[in-house]
Amino acid sequence: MEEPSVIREFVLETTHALRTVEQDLLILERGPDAAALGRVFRALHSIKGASGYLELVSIERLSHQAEALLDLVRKGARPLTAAMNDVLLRCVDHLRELMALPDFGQNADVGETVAALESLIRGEEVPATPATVPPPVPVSLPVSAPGTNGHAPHPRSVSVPPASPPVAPFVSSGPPAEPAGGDDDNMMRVRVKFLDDLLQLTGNMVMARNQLLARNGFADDPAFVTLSQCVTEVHKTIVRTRMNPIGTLFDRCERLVRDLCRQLDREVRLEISGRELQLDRSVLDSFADPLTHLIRNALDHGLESPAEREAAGKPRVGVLRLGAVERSGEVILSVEDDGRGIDPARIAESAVGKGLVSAARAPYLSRRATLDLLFQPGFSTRDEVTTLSGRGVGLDVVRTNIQKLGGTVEAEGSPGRGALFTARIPLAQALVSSSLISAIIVRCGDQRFAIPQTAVDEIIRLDSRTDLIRQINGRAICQLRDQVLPVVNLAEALGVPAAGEDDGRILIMMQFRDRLFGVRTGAILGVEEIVVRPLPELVRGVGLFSGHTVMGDGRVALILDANGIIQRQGLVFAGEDSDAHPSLAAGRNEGPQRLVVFNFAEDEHFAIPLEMVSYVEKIPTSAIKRVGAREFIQVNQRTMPLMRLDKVMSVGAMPACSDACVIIPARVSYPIAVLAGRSVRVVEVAERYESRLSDGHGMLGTFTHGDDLVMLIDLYHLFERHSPEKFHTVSQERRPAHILLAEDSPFFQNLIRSYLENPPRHLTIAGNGRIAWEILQARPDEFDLLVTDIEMPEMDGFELVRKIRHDERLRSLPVIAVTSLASSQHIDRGMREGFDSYLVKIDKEQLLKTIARHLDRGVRRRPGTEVVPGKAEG
Amino acid sequence: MQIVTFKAAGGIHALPILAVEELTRPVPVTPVPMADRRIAGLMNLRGRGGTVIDLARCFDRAPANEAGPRRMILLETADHLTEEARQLSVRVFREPVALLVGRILEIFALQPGELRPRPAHVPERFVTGVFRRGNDYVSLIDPMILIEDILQPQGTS
Repeated sequence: MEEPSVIREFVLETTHALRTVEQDLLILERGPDAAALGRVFRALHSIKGASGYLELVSIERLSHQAEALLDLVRKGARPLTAAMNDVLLRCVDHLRELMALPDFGQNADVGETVAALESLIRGEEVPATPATVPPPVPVSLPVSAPGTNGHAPHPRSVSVPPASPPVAPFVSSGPPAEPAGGDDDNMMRVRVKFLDDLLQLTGNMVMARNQLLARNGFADDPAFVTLSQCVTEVHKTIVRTRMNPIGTLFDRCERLVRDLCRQLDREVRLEISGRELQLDRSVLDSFADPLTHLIRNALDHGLESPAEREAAGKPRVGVLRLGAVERSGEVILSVEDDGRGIDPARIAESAVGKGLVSAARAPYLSRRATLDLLFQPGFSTRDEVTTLSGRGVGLDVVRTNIQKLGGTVEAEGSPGRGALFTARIPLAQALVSSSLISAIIVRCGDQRFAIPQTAVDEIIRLDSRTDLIRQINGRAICQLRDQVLPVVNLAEALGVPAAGEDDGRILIMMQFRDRLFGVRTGAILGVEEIVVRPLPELVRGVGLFSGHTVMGDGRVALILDANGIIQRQGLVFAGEDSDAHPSLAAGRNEGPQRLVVFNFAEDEHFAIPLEMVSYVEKIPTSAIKRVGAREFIQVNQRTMPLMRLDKVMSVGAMPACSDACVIIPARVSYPIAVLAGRSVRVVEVAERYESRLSDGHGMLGTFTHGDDLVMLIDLYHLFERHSPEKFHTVSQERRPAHILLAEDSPFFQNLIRSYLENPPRHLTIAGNGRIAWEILQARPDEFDLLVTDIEMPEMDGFELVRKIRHDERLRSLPVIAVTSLASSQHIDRGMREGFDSYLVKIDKEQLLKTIARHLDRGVRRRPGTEVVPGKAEG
Repeated sequence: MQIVTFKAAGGIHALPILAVEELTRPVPVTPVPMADRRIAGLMNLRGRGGTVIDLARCFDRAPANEAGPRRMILLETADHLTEEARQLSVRVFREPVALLVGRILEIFALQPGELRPRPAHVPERFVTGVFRRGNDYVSLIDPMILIEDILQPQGTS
């Protein structure tokens, strides 16, 4: 069987596709609609492709016949009749039933539906089925309210018109369809209390089991092993019984939106995504209040009345989006509207008026800090108190509620363009207290700490690799595969005395929201399944821990929180906000900035932002080698060109001395070491630099620090002057990477495209190898990366990569193969033909990591770099 | 009102017995790094962590290191508080909290007339009154004020 993530992806995609197919079929019933027909055809085509790939025969048979029939309709060979639509809808229902079966109905009888489709393909009449036959499964479909124009590609899209005057309030003209209780016979209602108790009891069972495990003689006893596995399974099952899709919560919101629209005279289309995300019921319940509040806020303060919208040149119907997604161990809830938006200037003004911030300080608040004022108690953006969101309770309640769950909430938006509220809740909490997670137990000082395995990226022993860690002015960093990452010494961060010399010997790479950092700890004591308990309130303020657990010996251990460590330690990440919300860009220069300040001529000081520095190394000046007019230096077994500032801008020369520093820049594909004097330090400057002095030739401005006048320099610009031939495209990091995808199957095209949507990347899709080759020939410099299938019509992936490797202009293009051809001969051949990476399955994480790695390396723009030896990943 | 008296921080203190769930010998406590200094750590309380407050560290002028035997006073949680306790305005926290103290002395009934207001030289807000027992002065502690003080440390926002 395929890997679970592929199956899950297939289920999500297909469930989604079936929903739109049903909607589109209903649209087609009203009249011909080529777009809807195209969508139905493609949806069924990709279901067929994917189910074929996964060898789900029943689903494949049905979707194949439906696709064949629709192809005829599309070509005009058959008219789409009501009877045909009946059969197609029946087919959709049938497919949905199969999707719900544990084995996808491998042995289910699909003969009747297939026969009906076949006879339609042959052009025969099928006996009409009564139109009122209830579908066999609950129709979890939105209500199309009167007046909706049908094109609605979103999963759930409800247009809620305001009540026409004669309709009394609360008389709903189109109540949401109640799910028909199709499965009722197999369901029973259980008191939540019982499940709570069960969960608590099994939690205790797990701990008792762990205690026994710690004793001698138990771990190997077969009976105990069985018992132990059962305990884990029981726990998992109970946790699962408590899970509900977040869609059930969103459903409740649908009604709320409808009612609020009536009350407030709004016209709103509600779009919901991520309804399939499963969460513990108690967590869902705790989301209800904040979510309700944010929706009220959006409808009351955000979205305008239809008249106002039209006057502002916006579509009459506003959009409200609710979303839920799980990412890097967090649940991210979002409420977004396209209403009047958020105006930081007005927020600041209003906050000053309310005495929340002093008039003197307000202009100096960063954009983020200004937006955060929204969540201050006593803040309300609209001056009038309305019946809905007024009454002194505001967004501060939302923040308090989310914080109780260990999460954070942020606002984003700009005037006239809508607002986005994002709440992030760590999954450990969101799963539920008492959930069972796998954790790495480490020793630090004389204490044990648990690190959830989901937060761990890699573990490195530093015994023989102490060179991995370096210091830049008091801040530790490590260099890992061309990435420079901050490092925290756990004992120091926690303020516990290091015990024994092995403290700090282990480097655990932890991650949080794609941010990777190292944590140095003492010995690793093992990996255990632990029962997560929330942190008692009295110690919650610490912020370094996400919870606690009771270990096998009956003692409490704390669970480390990656985000907490980042926050408490103020870790700086290279290129931190490079992919932040574009509207944040304006605020980039606000707030304190960390700069690396260095001298060149004795009394001339220069600065570059810390994010642009990879590391600093002391060198003897004798190590500088000359080749013609150029100078080179070898740092970390890597030779790179050396740049002297006086060669690229009009500044004083460095006096002769025996040793100096070199600054190795971060985020450049062609690193050039910058020669600096002996004084290199990191300073934090709160004030803005004086940018009037910018000369457009490498100097960005000046500021004073202490008694020194410091010149902020533009490294990229200077690099360009130093080596114009290497930098004909200025800092490729600034433009989004352009990826070429060669893939013939629409299913995989969509799959990969969806993977690459967030953050948005520029993607061009070629339907086969030959097309990809033609695109590359026409624009050899355009692409940063090629992702290709192997088996394709006309030209396969092997041939494509071979041609690329023989083309002077394309030779260094990173090429990743994504294929199901997993035999070692294929992999061998792939490596021989010149793939940089060969992924034998579609695993989103793996693919994204591989892509990111190749893009980071910037292999493309680094001439002479060896082609990274391909590894068979996964 | 029934009270329990005990030694801590070089003095004698009392708690309403209705606020107390259990008196125990000390159990292992896991320190919580970077937590409030008054918090000794977390203890295992039937599979969950209970917060342990070191009473000695709650007093301004306490000896640096508490000498002698130590005991734990496990406080009731709010949902287990009896009706009687509520009527006597005994307040406890919603989560399990234990106080780390010195020796337990005695349990007896305090007459309402015996209790006097907190003297001016005692800065601790959580001391709600004092009374005489033999030759000793005993201070009565409201555990909830103590907990609230830790939850919202003074001088910080």
